[in-house]
Amino acid sequence: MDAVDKKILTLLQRGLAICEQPYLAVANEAGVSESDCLARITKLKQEGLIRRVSAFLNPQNIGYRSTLCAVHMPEEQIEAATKIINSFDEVTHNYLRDNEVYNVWFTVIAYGDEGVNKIIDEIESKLNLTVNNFSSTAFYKIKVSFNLEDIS
Amino acid sequence: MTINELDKKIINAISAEFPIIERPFSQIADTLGISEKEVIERVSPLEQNLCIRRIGAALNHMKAGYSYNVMVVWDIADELTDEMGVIMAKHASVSHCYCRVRNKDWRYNLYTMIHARTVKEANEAIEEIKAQITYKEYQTLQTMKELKKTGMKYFQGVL
Repeated sequence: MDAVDKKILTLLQRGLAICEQPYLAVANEAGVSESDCLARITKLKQEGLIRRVSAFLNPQNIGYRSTLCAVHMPEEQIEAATKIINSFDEVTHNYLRDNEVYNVWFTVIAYGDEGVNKIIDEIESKLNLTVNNFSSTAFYKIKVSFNLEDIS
Repeated sequence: MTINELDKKIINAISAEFPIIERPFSQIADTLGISEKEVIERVSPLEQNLCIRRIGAALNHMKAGYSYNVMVVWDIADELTDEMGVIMAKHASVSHCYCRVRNKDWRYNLYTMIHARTVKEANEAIEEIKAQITYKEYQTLQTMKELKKTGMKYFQGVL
């Protein structure tokens, strides 16, 4: 990764302009041709540094609701339960954490509150464990960009 | 704003993957059987009205050098949550900050995700936050394993 790649990644994290050739402005600002810019982005994605290039939505503004759920899961159930939880497209993040009360934490995102509750009920009945719904009452920050200056 | 059926189709098409080609909207238009101009004219207001936050890249933060992340949950007096939430959100290492409901086994109501390059950097961030806020108790929940992390494909089957 060179200085141009870093510049491109910084710009891509900020977001593309909505126009016919959205990558052209990125290329210009990074000082490379559009085709070079596209090749670099493709390469950074293949290498896994870019997780994905896509639209990022504000789910609540398009009728979706998201929440964070936690489960107290016995060690021996984790493997099988992970398969069940992860099989839901509505679960986008799932983490095993070092906590004695709740060790499995996952997000549910679905259309409307009913959609979210339906998924939680389904997961609960398949796991035969209590799924605790920690729905949000306020949010103060979502930051998705990382400073690349110190990365070699 | 009201989302119409075409908006849903467009959102569905670009929420999982946005083409890395010269004319990405043209390719999306082709799959939907409409013109490039129509797609752009729908996406622009969706972005202006904050339905779409941005079209861009999400990095793999592990590979970007931010390999240590920890969720810190805080028990904060109900009347102080907004004030403390705003203070915590200002810290550069905090990527997400939410207020959530409590339950009888879990007193914590403010959730912060901390992304750092090292354990030391994360611990320093936690100490800096602690010095700035009023809280009763807190707990750190380290990530032992990432079991799933993926994007959401919206309006799948709603169409």
